[in-house]
Amino acid sequence: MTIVEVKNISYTYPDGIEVFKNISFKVAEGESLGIIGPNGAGKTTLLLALSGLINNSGEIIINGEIKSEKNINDIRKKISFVFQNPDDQLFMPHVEEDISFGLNKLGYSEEEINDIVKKSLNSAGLDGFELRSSHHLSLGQKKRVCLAAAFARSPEILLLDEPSNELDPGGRKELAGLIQDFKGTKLIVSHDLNMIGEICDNVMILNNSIIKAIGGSKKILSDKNLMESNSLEVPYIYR
Amino acid sequence: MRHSFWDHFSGLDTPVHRLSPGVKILFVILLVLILTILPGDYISFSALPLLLLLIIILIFSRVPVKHVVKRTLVILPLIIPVIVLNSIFMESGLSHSLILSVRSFLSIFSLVLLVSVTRFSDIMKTLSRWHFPRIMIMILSFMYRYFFLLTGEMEKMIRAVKLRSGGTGGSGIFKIYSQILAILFIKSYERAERVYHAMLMRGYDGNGGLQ
Amino acid sequence: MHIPDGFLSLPVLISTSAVSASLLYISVKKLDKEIRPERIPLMGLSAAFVFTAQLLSFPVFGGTSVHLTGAVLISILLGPLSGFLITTSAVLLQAFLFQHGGIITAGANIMNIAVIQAVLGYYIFKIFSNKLYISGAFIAAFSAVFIAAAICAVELIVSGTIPLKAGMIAMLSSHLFAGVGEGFITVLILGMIKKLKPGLLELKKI
Repeated sequence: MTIVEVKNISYTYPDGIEVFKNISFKVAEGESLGIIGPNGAGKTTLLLALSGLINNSGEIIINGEIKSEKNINDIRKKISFVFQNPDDQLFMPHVEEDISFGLNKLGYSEEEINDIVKKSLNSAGLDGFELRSSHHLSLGQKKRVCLAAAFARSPEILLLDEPSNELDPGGRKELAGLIQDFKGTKLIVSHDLNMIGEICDNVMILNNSIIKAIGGSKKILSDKNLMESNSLEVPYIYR
Repeated sequence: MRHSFWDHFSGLDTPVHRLSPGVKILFVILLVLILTILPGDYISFSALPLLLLLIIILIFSRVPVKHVVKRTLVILPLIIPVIVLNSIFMESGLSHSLILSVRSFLSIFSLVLLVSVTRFSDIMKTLSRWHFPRIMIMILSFMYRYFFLLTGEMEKMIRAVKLRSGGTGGSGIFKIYSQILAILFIKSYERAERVYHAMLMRGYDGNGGLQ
Repeated sequence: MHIPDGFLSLPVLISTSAVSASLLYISVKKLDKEIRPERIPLMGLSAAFVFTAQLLSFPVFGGTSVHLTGAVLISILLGPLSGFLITTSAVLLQAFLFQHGGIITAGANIMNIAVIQAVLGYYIFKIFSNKLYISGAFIAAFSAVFIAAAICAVELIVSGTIPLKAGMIAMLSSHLFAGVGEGFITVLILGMIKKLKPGLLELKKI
């Protein structure tokens, strides 16, 4: 079943630069789609459009509903967005407040929220981190708190923007494991092509405002000519 | 800038830390109010018992004495000029200054003690329960969260300028520092936009969202 | 300018707190009704910015330095009531985090910094801003610091903490310098923002 359908969407930055033009694709329920492409290709902007954080032209259908001003709050309830910079996402003084932020809007009671905070910290390997200041965490810990906060909402769709960016190999591996454990639909924007290869079923190449290729991740990631013509390179796992 | 400045000892687990934050805040307000209202003559003989009380609380809280003393002494640069002014220009200026010093010293001691035994988030929760305006709680929370981060960004920019110019100095520094602050404001604005996105994705609709 | 606990008498505390509390009430009511939700994180980050900017020592000749208060600057950028709430938060957090200022004197410190500088300073700026943006900002920042110092001195004198004549002279002369510094820094920052991201000077002023 299709959970995300994008029909002919276009978006132009306020300064006139066209980010994408008439792009269309579908994502099936439970699928993990990697979105790759050179810098400035509009990968992050695409995630912002899916979440209704920017106004694009064209149609985005999520779970059968056409995204509009009216239903955007309901659509967002089904989506968790892990932003590139954890310092933007963890905006509360302490870990516990960040994870619980907004959970009351999903209809949970206070006891349920406490329970969810505990469980999601546990699943991210962060037992006992409730009262830690976000500021004092390492980057790897911050990224895991972001994931815990994303999981706490039990989303149907998980959007991840450069999740492994700047992490050391150990932290990257831990994070990739956590992402893999999530069984819902995933859209992952990343330059970390090895991770994309490990996690994603399908891959989409975004470049020069259009979709250059979309298909099985092995087929695309191992296509040397295709990858290099889009300023990318074949990841180690497919060499 | 030491990042653990505030919450360093407030996370300890002692009888003092376990006291309700509301009780602690009220106690300090009451104490400072008493110190403010008490006439000078009474201050001289109530100072010692009050100091003793605070010391007993300090011992039970297991917060290092050095930490509290160091932070209490930030009062000195404010007290010294007042003492000097008074001693020169006021009759009985010295005894007057002494009473003033005792008042402010004990007040600040109790304030330092309060923040050493109470978490920031607990103070915010208490203020929220007391119907302190939600918008203020949000501003204070954001400030507490991002102040150290912005300080880090600012220090990084200053270091970069110093490396390039081979040390600070000269009249250009005023302009360069202002430029750094202008960039810092622009960065803060842009971060606010991204933070707002993160808030929206977690159901924020403008009506708060703080528990 | 941050008066510690113990320096002010009860009548001074009550009257200044009354002024500050009523303006706090008005600001919160008006902002709750009028601001758009994205303004909340902007005000929070702006408050963190003001707090950070206040730490930066601008070296002046002879080893001395001046600091920015930033009250007039932030009011010019976001408007008087936003500026009031931001500087009020800064005063409160400063008292708690660094013990600059006090818990009982918070009302007086809010009056000196948030009411006089952020709100009054903004209206001084408004008198000039149509024709003379930059000099208006300088005059506003300078006079806001200077007037606030005078009022601060009056509070301390009425409380019997400092002597009348010498106290006033000491406060005003030391803040003459600080006021000029505030004016220059405010103007330089506004000029730089205009050059780098002029749209930020056009934010809604509330």
